[in-house]
Amino acid sequence: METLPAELRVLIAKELPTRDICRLQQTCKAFYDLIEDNSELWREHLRRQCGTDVLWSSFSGFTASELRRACTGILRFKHRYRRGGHPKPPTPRLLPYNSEHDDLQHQQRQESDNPYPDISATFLVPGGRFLITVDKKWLRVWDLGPPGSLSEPCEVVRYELNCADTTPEIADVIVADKDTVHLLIQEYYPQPTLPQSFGIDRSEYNFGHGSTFTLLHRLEIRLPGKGPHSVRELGRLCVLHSRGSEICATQDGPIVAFGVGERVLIWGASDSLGTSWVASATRTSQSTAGQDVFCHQGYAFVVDSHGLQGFELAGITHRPVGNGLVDLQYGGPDIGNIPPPLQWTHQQTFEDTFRPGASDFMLHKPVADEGPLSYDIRHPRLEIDATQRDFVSYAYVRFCFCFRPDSPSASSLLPTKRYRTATQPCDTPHLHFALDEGVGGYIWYYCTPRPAEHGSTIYVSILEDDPDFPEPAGSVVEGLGDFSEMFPHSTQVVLNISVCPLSGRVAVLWAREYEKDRVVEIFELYDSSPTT
Amino acid sequence: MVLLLTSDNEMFSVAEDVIKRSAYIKNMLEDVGESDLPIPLPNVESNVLVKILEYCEHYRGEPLPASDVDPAEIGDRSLDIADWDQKYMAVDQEMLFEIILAANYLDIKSLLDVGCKTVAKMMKGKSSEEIRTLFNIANDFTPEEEAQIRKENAWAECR
Repeated sequence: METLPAELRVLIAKELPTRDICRLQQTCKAFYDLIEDNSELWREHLRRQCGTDVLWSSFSGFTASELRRACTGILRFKHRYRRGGHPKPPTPRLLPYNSEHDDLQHQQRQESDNPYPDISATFLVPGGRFLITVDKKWLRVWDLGPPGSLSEPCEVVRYELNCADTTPEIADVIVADKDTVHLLIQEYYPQPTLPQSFGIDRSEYNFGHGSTFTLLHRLEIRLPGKGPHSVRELGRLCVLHSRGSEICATQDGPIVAFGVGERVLIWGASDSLGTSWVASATRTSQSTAGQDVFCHQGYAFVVDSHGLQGFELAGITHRPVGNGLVDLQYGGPDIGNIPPPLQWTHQQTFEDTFRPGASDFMLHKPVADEGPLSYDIRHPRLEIDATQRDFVSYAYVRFCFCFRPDSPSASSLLPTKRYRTATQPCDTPHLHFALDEGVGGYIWYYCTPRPAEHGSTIYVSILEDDPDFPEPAGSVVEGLGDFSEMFPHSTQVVLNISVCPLSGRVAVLWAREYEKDRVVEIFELYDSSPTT
Repeated sequence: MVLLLTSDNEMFSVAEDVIKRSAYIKNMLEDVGESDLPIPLPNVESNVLVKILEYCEHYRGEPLPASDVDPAEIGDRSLDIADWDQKYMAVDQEMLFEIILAANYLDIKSLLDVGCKTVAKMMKGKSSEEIRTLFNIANDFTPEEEAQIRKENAWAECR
């Protein structure tokens, strides 16, 4: 070993998993120094942990020790819990008031000690550095600093949205490349007349009592390591549909898949305004509870309680969107057509006990690999104990959809395993994420029906023995709760949780009063303990 | 044929398409052109060169890897090593490091990778003390320093 020059020792270290790098570092001074300050080594290591879903510019400008902390956060976190310790909850950071952007509500905001009471959606961009917040008027992007940072968040860019809805939602965010994210904002507008700003003439649509508008804004946010940061609109779509239809939307490159009621809508969102198009298909199943949509490899898929349906996008006829209005209720302007679901569609009746109205299907995008692509579909299920006649626990049944683009009829949907995830009823889908070396984890919360007691509680759990899928059907993994972390809020309601497993950063949006005075809190889970 | 002269003055005659796996020699041949003069390899002993040539011979005819791939772009890597490479690397430690040094000097990327992976695989899952014993590394920390580092890295100790 002594014969090897430093650069070759580093090459060997680069091949090691994080834990082993740190053990090697402890063998002697030469290795210690070689590894401790080697930002290239840690950067490459982080790169390998990240994959393509993480916004790489999040780590721009990090020092070697910040990169090292980013690489080792998960391991430090796990170790803390392994020892059975229950450290005190981390102290949250709040979004600061930015005095540069004064406006009419200045006075009021200072008085209420909450500068952004209207925020209706938050999203932590994978990588953990950037937080997107949305209210009816503004989209803001905040720089939260390196993992473990305790400095004040800093607004890096803002964009005027001017939504008609007072609570716009973030429907989907994808990392488009190393410094760009594409964002889909969804707003509801139940009034019969759209505001002037949409530029849609009333005569072009029929609006009945059972009608509502859903608006989608597609935005591009550029966050390069060395600024300037920017936001621009890529397109907007206004869909008229029947009230009460469940809606979901996701992006795949330049395509947006939109599930609305029993329809599937594909929006070819072009870069230049005015050239985007839409096409639509009707599904064979009527149930729309807890649906999810996704697009990949030239196919669109919808998952709901009846199973999975696939649509081939090659055969679609599409129409330009024109002014951006799509009328799904009364026909209206001609919209393109997607051929009916393919023969290899899977009629998988998911088990019966999931709660209506919950967002129940979570798709986890493909593990990119050669050969068939696997999609992970997790279907949560309530387990009811017959003796107690009460909720006992929630389980996730994980289905693995092995999609073969070269031969779609050979695709298969296999139940692979079950998780038991909670012993209490949850109001939210669990946020699952992959941790290092094949170990999975999740974050979940629940709100008690009696606010006088504990209010909302947030738990973080780590799921052991979660090797890569697919695997033989029927294997069961359960038994958790050892890694729970709680931070109780007094009596209020958590509206949204956004988590970055890599950095251990969690952004919580909660309402101090019913439906108003919303607050964003940012927690650093991995660095909340004195042991680092 | 290409002539190679090792540090212990042994001459090897090697087919050009075999030794071109070495980017160092490939570039040299391109720069110098046809020549009857041997290429001196002052950093490589004959017993190591024999081993290196065994590798190049085995992979003769396989396409050379692209030289301009950014290692950070490759993405997820594992410590999987092909069966033949594993058998090839089943040598004593001294030879293993000699192969790595020679692969680095001769710029044979794939062999350097396999060499580093082989060493990494030997280290993986071992404690610091076990790594020291295995590779004969002297612990030059003071007891206080070592205690401090162990404390900071306690999370790395156990699974």
